[in-house]
Parts: sequence; C-alpha cells; structure tokens
Amino acid sequence: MLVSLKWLRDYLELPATVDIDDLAHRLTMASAEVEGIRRTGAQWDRALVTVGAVLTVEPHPNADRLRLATVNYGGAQPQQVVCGAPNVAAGQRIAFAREGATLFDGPGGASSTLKRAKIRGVESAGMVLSERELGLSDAHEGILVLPPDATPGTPLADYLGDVVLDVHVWPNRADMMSMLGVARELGAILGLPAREPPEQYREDGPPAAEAVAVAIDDPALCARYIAAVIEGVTVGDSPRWLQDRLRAAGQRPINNVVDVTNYVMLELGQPLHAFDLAQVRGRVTVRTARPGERLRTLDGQDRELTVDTLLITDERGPLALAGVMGGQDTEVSPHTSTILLEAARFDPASIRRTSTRLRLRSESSSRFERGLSPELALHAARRATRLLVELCGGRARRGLVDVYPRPQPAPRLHVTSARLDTVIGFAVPTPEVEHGLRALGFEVAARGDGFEVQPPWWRTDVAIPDDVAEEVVRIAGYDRLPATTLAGHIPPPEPRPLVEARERLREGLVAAGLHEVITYSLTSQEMLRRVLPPEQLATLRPLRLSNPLTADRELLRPTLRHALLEAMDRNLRAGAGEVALFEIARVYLRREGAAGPLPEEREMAAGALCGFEPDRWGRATDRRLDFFDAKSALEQAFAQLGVTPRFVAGEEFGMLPGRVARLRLGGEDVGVVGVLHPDTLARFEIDQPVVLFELDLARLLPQVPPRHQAVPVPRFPAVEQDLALVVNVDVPAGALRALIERSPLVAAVAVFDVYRGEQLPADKKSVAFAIRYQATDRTLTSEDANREQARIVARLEREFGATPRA
Amino acid sequence: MVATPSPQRVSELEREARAALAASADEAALERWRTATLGRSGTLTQLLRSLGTLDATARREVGAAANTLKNALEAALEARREQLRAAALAADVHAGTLDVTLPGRPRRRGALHPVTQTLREILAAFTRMGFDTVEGPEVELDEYNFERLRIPADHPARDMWDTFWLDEGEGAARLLLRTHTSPMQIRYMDAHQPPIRIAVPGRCYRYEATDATHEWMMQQVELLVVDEGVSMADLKGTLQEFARALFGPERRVMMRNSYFPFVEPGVELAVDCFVCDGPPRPDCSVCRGSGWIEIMGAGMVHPEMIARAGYDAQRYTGFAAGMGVERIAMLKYGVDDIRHFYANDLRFLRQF
Repeated sequence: MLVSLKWLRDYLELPATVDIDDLAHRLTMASAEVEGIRRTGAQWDRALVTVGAVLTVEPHPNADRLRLATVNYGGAQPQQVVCGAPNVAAGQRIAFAREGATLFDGPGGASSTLKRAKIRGVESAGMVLSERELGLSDAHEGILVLPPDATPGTPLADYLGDVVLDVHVWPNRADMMSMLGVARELGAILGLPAREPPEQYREDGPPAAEAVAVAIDDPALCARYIAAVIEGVTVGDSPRWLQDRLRAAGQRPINNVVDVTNYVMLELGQPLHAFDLAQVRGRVTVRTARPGERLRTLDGQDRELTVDTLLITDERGPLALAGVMGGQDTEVSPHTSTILLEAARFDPASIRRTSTRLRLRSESSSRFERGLSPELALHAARRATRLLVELCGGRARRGLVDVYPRPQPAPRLHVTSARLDTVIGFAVPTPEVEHGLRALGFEVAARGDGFEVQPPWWRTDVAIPDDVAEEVVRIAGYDRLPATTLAGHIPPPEPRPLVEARERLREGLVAAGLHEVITYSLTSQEMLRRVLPPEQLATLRPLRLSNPLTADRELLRPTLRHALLEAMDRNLRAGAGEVALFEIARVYLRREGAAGPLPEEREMAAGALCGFEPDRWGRATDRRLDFFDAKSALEQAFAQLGVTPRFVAGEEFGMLPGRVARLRLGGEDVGVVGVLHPDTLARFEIDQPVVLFELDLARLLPQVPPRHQAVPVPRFPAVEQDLALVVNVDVPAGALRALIERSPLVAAVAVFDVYRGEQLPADKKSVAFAIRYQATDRTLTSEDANREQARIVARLEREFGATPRA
Repeated sequence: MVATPSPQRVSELEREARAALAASADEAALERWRTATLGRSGTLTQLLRSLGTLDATARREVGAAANTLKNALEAALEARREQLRAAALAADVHAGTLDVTLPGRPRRRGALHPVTQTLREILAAFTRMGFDTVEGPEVELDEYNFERLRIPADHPARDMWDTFWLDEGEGAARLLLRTHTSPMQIRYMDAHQPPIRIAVPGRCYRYEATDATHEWMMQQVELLVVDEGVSMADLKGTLQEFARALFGPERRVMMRNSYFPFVEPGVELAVDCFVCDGPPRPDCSVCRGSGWIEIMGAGMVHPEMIARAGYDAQRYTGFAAGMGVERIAMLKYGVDDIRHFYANDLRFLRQF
C-alpha cells in the first residue's frame, strides 16, 4: 500500500515539520511495516527551483527550433531563458530553475549544476524544466506543465514534493488497505484524531430503486450489495489533483468515473465498480455462474466461467466477475451518461479463488479477500456518489438500492483484566487500556472484572479478547513489556536415543576428517538415473512436485548419492587436492500399503572420498585416497558409537566389482562402502577414483548401545607374538582374524602385513598377525602363549588350510 | 724406573695429571687418562704403592698428600666429564635448532557444516532453558501446515508461505513440503499435555526464487511453550536469554507488531545490533544503521489452537516462535550471501 503523505494530510492534522522517519518507525512498531520511504522533491533546491509563470514566448533570433521565454519565477524581475521544448506557451505554470540549481538526468541519474550560458548568442539565465531534469522520470520531450493554480515563486519542493510510504499491510487488516485506515492508525499512535472525508451529496430526481433492482442469490457469497444511480455524467479526464493522487498510489488514471471508483477504493478501502446502466437489462442478480456461461472481461478476454465463479448478472447473463473484473459490455465509455455504482461485500474466499484461478489478482481482489466490513460499502457508495456528482457533472438519484439480507450485529466482547494481564505479562493501567482502545475507535466501558469492548465496524479482524490484548499492547508499546523467565516447572525431556546416536555419528565422521555438507532435498530423474538402476528407480517412483521451481529440482530424493557426487565434482573442479565429504539427511520413500498418508523419511548418511593424500608439506603425494581410507573413517565413527559392523565383500550398483563391502550389524545390512565404477563417475564428469559409502541410519542407529560399558584396564602383563600364515588368496584376512580372536587368551590381534609374490605360489598369500596374549587372572608365560598359538594354528589349518609361514 | 716418592713428586704428578685431563676432549680420552693416572698401573697408583720405601714420617706426609690428590683427581675427572657432556649437549642443541616458522604436519581435518554448528548453538541455548528437542516430517499435509494453523484454503495469509506442492492427495490431505516447522506445534500438542516446552529444528521449503537472502530450502527452529500463566513478557525474556547466549551477554530484544494466523498477539522480534554494540552506526552492513536485527517471528499461541488441542484455553496460554538458522548463521559468521551455505564449496566450509 503506497501512502502519500500529502494525501494523508486530508485526514490527519500532521505537523508541517513531521519527522518522516520517526513516523514510519512508529507505524512499523505498532501496526504495519513501512518497507520503503520515497521522497519526491527533497532533492530540489528550495530557493532556486520554484514554480514559474511563462509571461511571453518569442522566436529565437538565431535558431528556428529555440524560443525565448520570459518567466516570472517570483523574483523582482522576470528572467529571459532560451527554451527548446515544443510545448512551452505563454500563460503556463512551469518548474523553473535558476543559475546554481542542481539538475538531474532522470530518476537516480547523475546531477549537474545549472550555469548561466549564451545559447546561439542569447543569454539564458535559467531553465524551464522537464520531468527528466527534475529526476521525476525519463520524459524530456517537453517541459513539465503545472496546474494553473500554482503560485509563481513557491518552492517546487512544496508544490510538487511528497513523501510516499510503502506500507506492508498484514493479511488480516482489511481496514489498513486505505488512506483513511492508515490515518486512523497513525492518529491512534500519535494521539491525533482522524477526520473522515465528507459523504454528503445532493440527491436529485426519482429514487434509484426505480432505475435498478438488485437480488442476491446466496447471502453467504454476497452479504451486501449497494447500488447508486448517477445520471447525466460527462465522461472525461479527471482533474489534475485526482490524477496526481492516483499516480502517487501507483495507479494509472483512466477517466473521471473509473478514477473516482479507484480513488474511493484507495481512500476508504472499498473496491467499487461503475456499470454503464444503459447496457444493463432488467434486474441485477448476484449469483454463481451456470454451466457454459462466458464473459468478455475488460481486458478483452473471452472467459469461460466455472460454476463457482461469483458473478454480477442481468437478465441476459453475466455483466462482471464479482470483485475481480468488469465486463466489456457494461464498461463506462465516453458515451456513458448513467452510471450504476456498485459497492458490495463479497465472500473473501470466493473472490480469492476466482482471482487466483484467472490470474487476476488486483488492488480490488487484495481488499475483498481480506474480508471487508459490510458497513464500509455504505460509506464508500456515498463518498463515491458525492465525487461523481462533483467531478463528473452527474445527478444522484434519490436513495440507494441497499440489499443486505442478514445484517451483522457489531460484536461485543467481554475482556477481563486478568486475561489482559496474563497474555501481556504486565498490568497496563485501566485508564491507559481505555484510552488506547478509544483512540483506535473502540467503544470501551469498564464492567465488573474487566471491560465491555465493541470494536469499530471497520476492524473486522478483532473477534476475541486476545485480539483486544494485542490492541492494548501495541498502543501501549512493546518496549514496556518486562523480560521475564518462564515460571512453570520444566517438563522432563523424552529420551531420544536415535537422535543422540545420529549426532554422535556426525561428530565421529568429522573426527575422522570428513567435512559435513548439506545438499538439496530435491533432484531430477536424470540425476537419479546416474546413481540408481532403472528397475529400482521404477519401483521407488520418487515423489514428485506439482510445481517445481526448475526442472532439475522436481523430485524428492530417494538417495543421497548423486548429491555427494555433485558436491565432489564441484570441489574437484575448484582444484581441491583431497576431498572427503559426508552428509546426514533424509531420503523420501513411498510407504507400502496403508501405513498413513505421509511418505517415509528415512535418515541416511553418505560420504565420498577422493584425491591424493598430502605429504609433510601438504603437497599431494601419489597415494590416492582409497577404499581403506573410507573404511578407516567409518571404523573411527563406529568406534565412537560403540558398534562394530562387519565388512563383508559384496556388490552394489554403480560400484566396481571386487571393491565393495557391505556392512553387516546384528544380522542387518546397514550400509555399503566401495569404489565407484568409472561409468558412474563419468556421468558426473569425474575422472578420478572416488570411494563412496552409504549408511542406513534407520537400521544402524537402533543397534547403538545406549551407553558405553567400561572394561577394566588389564592387571597382568601381556605376551606379544607374531604369526604369519600362508593361505589361499581368496581367504579373507578378516575370517582368519575372527578365528584368532575367538581364543579367550587373545586380547588383541592386528594384521600387519600381507604378502603375495615370488616366494609363494601364485594362488597363495601370506598374512601376518601381531597377537597379544593376556589373561585377566594371572601372568602368562611365553610357554602359555606358545601353547595357545599352537592350538590356534591347528584350528586355522583345519578351517582355512592355513599353514604357518616359515 | 719409578721416582722416589716425595712431596715434590706429588706436586709434579698433580700438575702433569691436571694438564693431561684438560687436554682430554672426549670420553675415550678421559678413560685413557683415568687408566694412566688412577688405573691399576697408573702413575698415582704406583706412587701410592711405592710409599713403603719411605720412612714412617715421610710416608705419612707423602701418603696424605697423595691420597688427597687421588680424591681431587677423581673429582676433577667427574667435573671434566660433566663439562664435556654439557658441551656436547650444547653442540647438539645448536645443531638441531628448529625453524619454528615451518608449517605443522598436515592432518585431515573435518568440520560440521556452519548451519549445523549454528543449529547446535541455538538448540543448546534452549536446552539450557529446559526445552526438549523434537523433530517432525518435512513432507506434510495441508491440514497440519495450514488448516489447523488457522490458514484455511483461500485465505490471503497463504500468500505468506509460497508452497511446493506434491502430486499426492486432495484438499486438507494434499501433500506439500512444509513451509515452516509450525506443523509440529499441532502434532506435538495432539500427543502431549501441558506443560510443553519444545524446540523443533528441521528443513523447510519455500517456493521462491533464490537470491542473496532467500533460499528455497532452509532450516528453521520452532519454539512452543504451553503452560499456565505464560505471557508475552515470558516470550520476551526467553528470547532475550537466547539472544544473549548467541550474540553476547549485553543483548536486548525488541518486539514489533506482526501477524501470523496461529498466534495472537503476533510480533516480530529483533535483537540490538551486536556489530554496532552501542549506538547504531549509519554504515553498519548488518543492521543498516537501524541498530536492530530482526531474527524471528513469534507470538502467543492462538487460544483456538489451545482449545483444539483439548486444553482449557482459559487456564493455559503459550508462545510460539520461529527462526531461520541460515539467517542466524549469516549474522554470526558475517556471511553475505545465503547461497554459500548449500554450494558446499570446501573453500567456504573449511572456514568453520
């Protein structure tokens, strides 16, 4: 809502020197945010840029296209200037700049200082200005011609200058979508009474009801419909002041009749419509559309109407889309002489539905959809009729046709002091409550334990006592609220072991050297095809947006993989030598069967590693991050969680066979880690090996023990022994290790070497273990350890055909 | 041929031995010296052995001097040895002088995303005030995201939340990406009784073009308190505590009028500018000279929502608030463009 301060002064006795910033601040604090302040004329030098009167215009002696104008600018002597504008004429009021004044090159353009100059041999002491030199617009074809009432010598800043506030009105404040509404708010804030604009006019001729009849089909959709009839209007341009005001509010003047309806809408907040009554046949009926009905609207479009569209109709059919747009057939034209003026209260939801569907959101619909008071229609009908009589030369027929089937009683609220105090948190003194509410137009009476309150008719947003509490506190000032601490007892927190475990996993992966990323939840089919097999993608049927912003963000992702690879690609392109990333986020999956209306949001972790390990100087070595870097990161993170999933050789789509481990824990598959297939990487334009892991947190986290169980530090010394075994190459070291670990005397076992080569047959390898033997109840001797190791070797031979390496 | 022991001979021997000791510059030389002087056939040992050739008086006199010398030489040996060790250490230390300006050994270092770090700080502040952390679904029903928050279909307040809709469901059962964490107010109240004190973090989505201050995906933290006697002053106090936890102990908060259909009264909350930290500076890029930074929308839970949850709306009141985590992170870290967060460029992420 654009609020011209000049216009606002019609309703509010603001001091001449009002501090605009302060005014805007106070309005923002208490009512509605002022999002911008536009000052026109503040840049004009008050002494040097004034209203001028063109006294004479003569040809320039040396140039055909230039003329000499004598201008009375308010000084003792008129000045002669050279003027190139085609539209300059004697008798005009114009904007005049004298030597030294600052001129502009359009809005926001560069400024320059006007100098005395000789143009084609004639001295020019000043300049008759165009809108461009004033910085008002880029128009420079002709000079700016002011209305004849402008007094020469008046500083142009006073005559033309204004301040326009851009006020963001909340969706519940229908009343503030108007100059008067803003004036009322400011009045309450500043302690100034707001003046209502005059509504009286002289009625002339027979009753309006004899010229038009109105019927409302469904009062739920149209609570009130008022029709005024104005005869004998002359359609033409509006006066300059009216046009200026419309422009200040961001509207384009059309003709005096339409301008009056728009003016009253801006002034009072009630959208109005003027029909050419000569084009209306029979009774006007407000009803919804019938199947197949059409209407050619003012914008020239022939529209097919859906059956829930609210219409203004006559006996022949639709005349207008109620509250949204008029029809071409009944449009006010230069030949119109009798006007049917409509002021109605339409159902907000209906208007919003129609205007949204037809993409015809407008100043009118934005007011109707906020829910206007039926009272407003009456005031607006009178006010507009008065202006139509005054400005269009019309005669108002006697009375109004006012169809208001179920008048709404004004709500009365009983608001207890206790409720006010509880909600606000401190006791606003009673006189202040009453004073503040009255300033806002409420009727207030102290009654028993509180107040009897009647909101003013224009405040359709006030319905319950807490609404009144808001009125009280916003006028009293929020800065008066104390800052208190919650008094009640703290509800016991519910245990959330899965969330806690997830956060520990996050920390574990960070401690393992990975950077957390956060990627978008939305993706595209094309992106998913890069990382999922077609049959899986077909089964998943990812959830789809019906209104994606862009084609690459139209699906809710069922995996995190592509996002990690996108992030990887981006960082590799940026020249990162070593990249280790992870994300913990949700994937979105359809639920099987009737498991509720919402999809499953499964938490996953995914990570990717790529690049070269740095040397002591941080420069890339030739060792690439590989499977075992990823495995180590996972092991570190798992250690933090207190779980030890097994890494089992497996397979995974998009990964290289033989370089993939599935993670098994408690009989469940909790994830996968592996080297990506070069084909997968090529789809992301990555040309170096990447290791990727993925964990299904829905399966992993429930297995995380709620707390670590501490074990005592061993009291007896250990015996360390090495054991090298020769086995077939396909025997996993982990299996050997698991067998060794089964011994009760083995406290720890670690692989420290794996050898394949010429000293062994081609199908054999040697795996070396460092084993720590330790007992909890005695000191082991090396003989004890030897005996146990011999038993272990025997078992290894039996189960894996392993032989100790000589 | 051994000279006859005499005091002169003892003095002479002392002179010779001390000179030889001073000339011994390493452990091997010291050992040679010890053998030659104090060893079994060393010069002093021989002198002591030959004392028997003297008469008793001379033997007593020379013997005492020789024994004193023996002790003195043993001490001198130790002193010389210590001196050499110190010198060697000093030489080693000098040779091994570090250039302490060389870089440390690189170690792979990870970090939490700055938005996660900020989220944790926010939640920690509220945990200290007794708030429990609760999470909820990102894919929501129209019913919870709008209807039950008093934002019916065809209400102009819907314009405040541009929405991503899914191709699933109709009317109140239509699925959408939640535009705020507020649906959890309803879900939580449906399942719990007062007193309630929760913080709800999570991803939210807005159908809007991205620019320096807007992302279509963002993280929010929602607060909900319902109890007897909860007031706007409590809202102010709680959020002031929060602002102090995040932005410094001197912070103050300011409220101004606002509107959300699910609260009444509704306010916008601002914290005084921690960059200016005093009178606002006109050129401040954070508060733009106003001295205040808006950080969240808030208000008193609408009594209709309290009643709809099955609580006594006369007895129970509450407040709710919602803030954008990215915005707080931008303020905290001086990030000038929200798009940095989800570009996931390590050159950005490594700064945190």
